[in-house]
Amino acid sequence: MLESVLIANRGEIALRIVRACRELGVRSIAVYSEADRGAPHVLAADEAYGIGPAPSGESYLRTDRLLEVAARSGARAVHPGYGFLSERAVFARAVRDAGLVFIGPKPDTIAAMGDKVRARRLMQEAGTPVIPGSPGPVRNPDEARRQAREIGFPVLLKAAAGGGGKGMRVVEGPEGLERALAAAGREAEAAFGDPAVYLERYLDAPRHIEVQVLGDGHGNLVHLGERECSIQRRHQKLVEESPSPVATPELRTRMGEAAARAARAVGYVGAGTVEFLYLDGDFHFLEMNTRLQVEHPVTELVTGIDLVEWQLRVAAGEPLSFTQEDVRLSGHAVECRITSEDPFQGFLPATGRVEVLEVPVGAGVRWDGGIRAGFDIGRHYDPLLGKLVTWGLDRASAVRRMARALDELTIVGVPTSVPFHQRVMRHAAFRRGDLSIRFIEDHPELTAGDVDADTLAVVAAAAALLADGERGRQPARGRRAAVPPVFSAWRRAGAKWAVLP
Amino acid sequence: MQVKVDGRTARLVGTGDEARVLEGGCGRSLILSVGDRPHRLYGVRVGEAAWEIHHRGRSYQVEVADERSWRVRQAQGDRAAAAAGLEPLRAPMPGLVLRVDVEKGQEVAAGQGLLIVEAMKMENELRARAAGRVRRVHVAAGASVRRGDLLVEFEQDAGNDGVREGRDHSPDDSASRPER
Repeated sequence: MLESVLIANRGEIALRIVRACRELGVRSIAVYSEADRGAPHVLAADEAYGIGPAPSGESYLRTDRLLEVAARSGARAVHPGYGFLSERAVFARAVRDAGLVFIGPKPDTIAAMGDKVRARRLMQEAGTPVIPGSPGPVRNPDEARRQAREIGFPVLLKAAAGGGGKGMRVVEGPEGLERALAAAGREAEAAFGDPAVYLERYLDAPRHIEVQVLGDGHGNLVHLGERECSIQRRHQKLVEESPSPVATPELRTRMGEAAARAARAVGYVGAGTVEFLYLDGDFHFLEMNTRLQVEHPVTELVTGIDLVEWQLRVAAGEPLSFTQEDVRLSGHAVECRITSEDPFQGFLPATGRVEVLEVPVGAGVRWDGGIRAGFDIGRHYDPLLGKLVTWGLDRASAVRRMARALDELTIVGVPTSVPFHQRVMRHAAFRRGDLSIRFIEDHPELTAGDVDADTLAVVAAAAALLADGERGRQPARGRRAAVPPVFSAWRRAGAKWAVLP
Repeated sequence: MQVKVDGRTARLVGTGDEARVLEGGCGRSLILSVGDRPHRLYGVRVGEAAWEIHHRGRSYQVEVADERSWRVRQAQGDRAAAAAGLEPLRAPMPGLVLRVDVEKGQEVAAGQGLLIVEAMKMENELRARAAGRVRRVHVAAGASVRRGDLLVEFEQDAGNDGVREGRDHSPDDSASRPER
């Protein structure tokens, strides 16, 4: 096994990797920006080193500083997590050139899959179906218009270097194209340092289904079932599950084999994900992510395979200890991405201090979080606070368990996506498994900020009592009130009250 | 006693169920009994009369006022409602202004893009709530803004004068929620 791992990331994924290291007896080395000095991943790691100011461009994206820390700490390997430098071939190469193990695929594999245009071509050659689109990046509005006419509106603009929804725009008709092209290009430049954008046909309400693959350095590669991640907003996933409600054993085998073929075509080593769009029985290659995915826990819960542990084992040169035939899916897992975004204000990102954090426990519940009480959620990083994951014998019980766990999750101090997830878990269409990537738009009641009368009453009463307490009616210091304090206005009225809308 | 929860008004009166604090003062946690049912809530004071109350996974912005100060604010609210469509645009989140698409004196249509703010690596286009004329733009591209910062002020469009006068808006509708 590797002696030590530098974790070039932050938040919940850094903590997830620290935990895997701890279990395997590997020394974990964390890095932090000035904003993350007291972050949970820093507190949990065996060692931690500052790498610069809060903006990620001056810290988590600084290859030079990361390698400096690696040298200073005597790290043997670097785990990039997801996001940040995880899919930058130049970073993987720099890590290897420094004599360290990069925990991920070969730099050439990252480069091939990172260039979405090249990846599409490779997949076609490997016999994996792809979505119709422009053969290469579009350089100017005229070319974009020409290509879009050929493909047919609506079209999707995508960053050639992209992923994770950044630099993506849906364009309904020719009039919005130029503007969207400029915005997508700017976003792509900011996120990936490359403004190149290409076009794809925009499929109407498909499902997003992806396949986890895992390969070792000895020519073994397995697929580990699928995940459905159709519930998204702005191309960012909010709810994921495994298996997909539409996957039959036959479809699972077909998709799994297509994914494995795609991965073998690029000599894949480590954990990776092949993403597909699924519509009416057909699936099309979307992209391959050459890293650990945010939603990897649902696969871990249904396969029993610890993906981060296997990333470390494969990086240390171990062969997989199981074959495709050994992989068995058991039960159903659901994940909710808990973000600091207000679902009732168009998922606006919010900042604030986590005042209270209470995490659900009980049978079949897992929390992969990156926050603690007292921690400030700033504007510099991704709004993901943590992932709540549940397992059940079947989909219905996993979903019911998630609904229960969400009710127990308490994050005070910053608006979160929790109330949205609560509604999704109780939504009839979701319970039927009737999903598409348009789920949120199709069901506006999920993001309507209405408050029911009972809740209004309880919340209003609590605020009134607190406000009343602040007016100096607390009992004298050192003496407990014999009777619990009752709100004064109500006390005058016989301590009875009602809320009139 | 008047309480406004996420812009919706509730009025507490002296009849009905009993509300009691079963347990309080332990951090920000509060156990409240309403009728026979206990509820666990959390409260954080965020302003003079403003509270953030957390209940079953959701945070509510709550304003508390006694009857007299409530009436004063309601009167002010009526005036604000009269100009609901002309409310200034404030930053809905902290971020970086990438681009400003309007200038002083420019007439804008409802839904027209005004400026783009980048937050958490996403571009967010802020749009006009209603038609009007730009009175003043308070930020330029490159500016860092905090939540609630004033971005753009509007005035009545000449051709539109008087249309939005009157008291047909309830004060509750004036809660400012810039659309994106």
